[in-house]
This record gives sequence, structure tokens and C-alpha cells, in this order.
Amino acid sequence: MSASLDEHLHQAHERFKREHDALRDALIASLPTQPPSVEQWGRIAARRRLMGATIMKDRTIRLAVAAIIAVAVVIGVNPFGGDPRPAFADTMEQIEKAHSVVFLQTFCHEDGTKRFASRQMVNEMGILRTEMEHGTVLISDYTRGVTVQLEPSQKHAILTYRIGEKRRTPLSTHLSWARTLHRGGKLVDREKIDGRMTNVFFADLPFKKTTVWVDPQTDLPVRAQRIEIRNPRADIVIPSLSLDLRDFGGDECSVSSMSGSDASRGIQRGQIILYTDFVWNTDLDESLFSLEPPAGYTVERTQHDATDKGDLCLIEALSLWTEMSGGAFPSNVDDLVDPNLITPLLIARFDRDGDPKEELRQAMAAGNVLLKASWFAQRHKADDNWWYAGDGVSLGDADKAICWWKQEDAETYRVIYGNLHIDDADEAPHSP
Amino acid sequence: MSQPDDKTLIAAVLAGRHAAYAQLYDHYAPLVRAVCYDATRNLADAQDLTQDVFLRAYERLGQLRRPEHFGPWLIGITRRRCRGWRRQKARQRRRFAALEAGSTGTSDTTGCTENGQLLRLIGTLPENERLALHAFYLRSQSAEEARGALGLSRSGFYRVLKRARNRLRKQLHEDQENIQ
Repeated sequence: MSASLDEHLHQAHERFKREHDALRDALIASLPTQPPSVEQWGRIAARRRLMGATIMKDRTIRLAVAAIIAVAVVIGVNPFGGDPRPAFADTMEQIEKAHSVVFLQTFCHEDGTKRFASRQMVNEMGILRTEMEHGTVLISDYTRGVTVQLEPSQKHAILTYRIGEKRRTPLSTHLSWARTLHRGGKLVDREKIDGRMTNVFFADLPFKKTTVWVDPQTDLPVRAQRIEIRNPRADIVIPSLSLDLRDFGGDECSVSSMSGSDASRGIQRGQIILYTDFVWNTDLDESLFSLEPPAGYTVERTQHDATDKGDLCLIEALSLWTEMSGGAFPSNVDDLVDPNLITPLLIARFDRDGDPKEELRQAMAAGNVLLKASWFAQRHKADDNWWYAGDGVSLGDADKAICWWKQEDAETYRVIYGNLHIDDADEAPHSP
Repeated sequence: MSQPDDKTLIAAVLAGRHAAYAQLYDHYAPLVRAVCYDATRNLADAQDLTQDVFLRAYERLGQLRRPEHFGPWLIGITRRRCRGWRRQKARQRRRFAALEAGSTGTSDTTGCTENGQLLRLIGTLPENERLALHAFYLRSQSAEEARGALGLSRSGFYRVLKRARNRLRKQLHEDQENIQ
């Protein structure tokens, strides 16, 4: 530890104040309009006397009371009365207990017109099966970090091994909209859906508004909607990349695409996502979730590096860019994902008249580095914590700062110089 | 203008003023998050648990007999909620034990930094020492405010804080020696 223990402890605790305002606003919005009821202390004391002095002192009475409570719970009677107000925590509990779910996910433009839909199935192992409208099937096992993409029309399967990704297991982790509600959802209304009266919960977090309709009989969602709002700032771009196999000498049109997003900062497409046609706790055939490609399919194996390397990724991307551009740094960090600039550079770098599929794979892997670097920069931009001065600088200019940002939990700046060396500085180099 | 005390704020909450609960949240949420982080070692989970703790506390606020002891009462709810969370995680781990063999876990990647190392070491301290450290460093190092939040006497608080800092310093020293 270079600084004093006091300073380090102070800095370490700063992380507990992150996103505080947004979390507070979400919590306050989720509170019921009625104030908490004040229970008379006489009643509480009497209840405690009954519990402590009478029931808990006699084993037979204790067992008898436990049995009565158990029966009351089974037949749906709350033996102690209490607040009947529905809470999303009850729904979350049922979701956590569910052993499977099937639903339709529909992506719409901001004006509500449909873009595409897919049927989602999650089994009790947390394996997700996605069936696209055009026939493609994706089966993702996030516990093992493996995704298989099946193309029935071509009898082709692509097995992708994902490295450096958080391992997700429970079914509920695939229902991010439910977790959003759990963090600060508010009961706002009651509404009929398909002839059933439902409780409507709503959460308004930065850049996303989530509504869930819950069946009060089962405490499970019957419909959900998420409105994703794009960060309105013009200087924030959504990192994305598409490359076509034909650009590398392939005969068929096969487009590979990827994009990065961060909903908490609005680095995302503005869209509406609908979740409908829910079927909970149905028995799903194990074969639907098999990662073994069906017999007769050709199999392609690939790897996707999902590691978030932060500043190292930025250095890797700047190095790749200077290699492809003859030594000059991009004039703007957004150039790293500008399709007009990056597509020809990647094609020129990787099209070597070899196997088009292998060349496309290598180009996409390089593109992934650029995308992650751009995503890193966009996140810092959204926090007003990003400065870029690479325009006109060439690789090797050790005295020139290319970009910098303030470090988390610290007052120092992280600076990348023209020789791609990274260092800490007490003050920002200079404004671009 | 001085900040209203907890008793005044709780009376306002019970009268239906959400803004007063927001003030209580501002005052206590970072401490609750720190306590939750000791259990979860993951900031996102700690944030989720904190929201849950404050919702539960709001629902039970009418049962709080001594509003001036809101801080220790809230920490009690937090500790129980963290215990529940650990039990739930243990159940999940047992259920998916076979599949999770070789998985990388979901702790914060920021844990590799010096501050992350420090928080990991704090997590190994006895509970009262952890609480004292969190309260002290989240309250701008004001012992008076920190001990108030935990409901400890002045001498008791200083003793626990001193012991925690000594233990932490010793562990850091040992860690560095191990690295060298």
C-alpha cells in the first residue's frame, strides 16, 4: 500500500456510494403511497408475551402451534393477519422457485412497430433456448460458457466457447426485467390481461422503464415490457460492427455482426421489448437444451473473448488501429467503430485469399477488440470522464498523451501515451 | 441548516412523507451496502440487497419502538437479510455443484485492485470490527456520527475501531510479506 491506510480505507469505501442517487430515487418511487401503519406496542408486547412466556416454553404447545401454522399456510390463511398489499418480492420469490419458463420476446422500434421476435425457453439448469422466426436456434449454457447456433436450413452448427464471461446459473438471471423490478418496482395499477385481472408493477430507472403484469393467483408475470431509451448525447455512439463473408472471397451472403451496450448509461438502441405468452413450470424436453449438434450437421467451433480488460483493451485496439493505418492514431476515438473507416481496414488486413470463413473469423476477433475499446470509452464519456487527443499523433510519440480518464475511487488520471505506455498522473495532461 | 435527527425523520415518514425516508436512505444506505458487500463480495448484489433491506425496514417502521435506535435496528435487518441471502446461495451452489465445477465465480473484477484487496481483508475481520470500520469511513471519519449509527458508547467504539485498524494493518503487512 503506497498511501496511508486511512486514505486507502476512505477510497475503498467510496464504491458504496456509487449510483446512490439513482438507487434512492428508484426505492422512493417504489414505496407504497400509504405510510407504514404504526402498530400499538401493547399489542406487540402481548404477542411477544404469548410467544415467549407460553408457547415457546412448552414443547407440545410449540409443536401444536407449528402444525397449525403449517396447515394455515397450506390452505392460504395468514394466521397473523398483516398487510395484504401485493409486493414484487413475492413475484420474485415465485420466479426463483420456477423450474422452467417459456415466453415470446418481441423487439419493436421506438414507435412500436415490430422488428423481430423469438421464442425463449429456460430450463431449471438455467440453459436458454432461443428460437428465431427464420428458423435459427440458439442454445446457451452460461454456466459452462458455451453457445450452440443451429441453422436447420443449412444443417450447420456453430459452437461458440465464451471466455471471461460471468457464469450465470439460475433461471431468473435470464429475466433481467424482473430483476429491475426487484430493485425498485412499484405497484401502480390493476389491469385486465386476457380476461384476468393483474397487478401492474413499474420501475423507472435511468434509460429504461420496465412494466410487469402479474397474475395475483400465481404471483407470476403474464406480460412484461421494457422501454429502452438511448442516451441523447450526440457524442455517445453504440459500438457495433458487421462484416460479410463475401468481402473475404466467400460465395454466399453471410453477415457476422456484434454490438456492445450498457443500459445503465443509455449506450443502446432506443427500442421497446415485449415479453408475452408466458408458460411457467411446464415440462420441457431435455433434448431441446442439448449442446450436441443433431446428427448430419456440419460443426464449426469458434471462441469469443468476453473478458472486460478495460484499459488494456484500449491499448490493444489503438495498437491494432495504428498497425492497419500505417502508424497514425485515429482522429477521434469513435473512428474505432466507424463502419466507413473500419470495414475497409479490416478487409485489407485480413483478406489474404485464404479460407474466407477463417479470414472473417479473424477479422471479427480483431473487430471485437475495437468494439470493447470503444465501449470502454463510451462508458467513460457518459460519465463525463473521457478526454482524447490522438488526432495527428503517430505511434512512438512518447511525450504526447493520446487519451486519459480519472480513475475510480481516486483523484489521479490514467493516461495512455503515443508509445502506448500507460501511466498514472496527478493532473490531466491538457484539454484536447 | 442542521440535519434533522432520525427520530424526527421517522415521525415524518410515518406521517406519509417519502422525502424523509429519502434522507434516512442517504444517511444509512452506503453503510448497509458495505455490510451487504461483506456477505456478497459483489457490488451489484450488495446494491440489490440494500434496496430489499430498505423496503423491509419501511414496511416495519411502525413497529420500531425507539426511533433514535433506527441505525442499529436497520443493521439488524441487514444482517438477517444477508444470512438469508447466504443460505439461498448455498442452496443454489449445492443444486448446481456439478455444473459449476471449474467456473470462475461472480465476484467483482475490481477485487484485483488495492482497494478490492483491502475490502476483502475487511471481510475477514470480526463483525463488530467490520461495522466500526465501515461506519467510520463512510461518515467522513467522524467517530461521533459512526458510533451513533451503531448505537455504541464512545469508549467502546474507539476500542473496536483501534482493534480493527491494528488487525487490518497486521494482515496487510503479512500479505505483502507473502507476496515478496
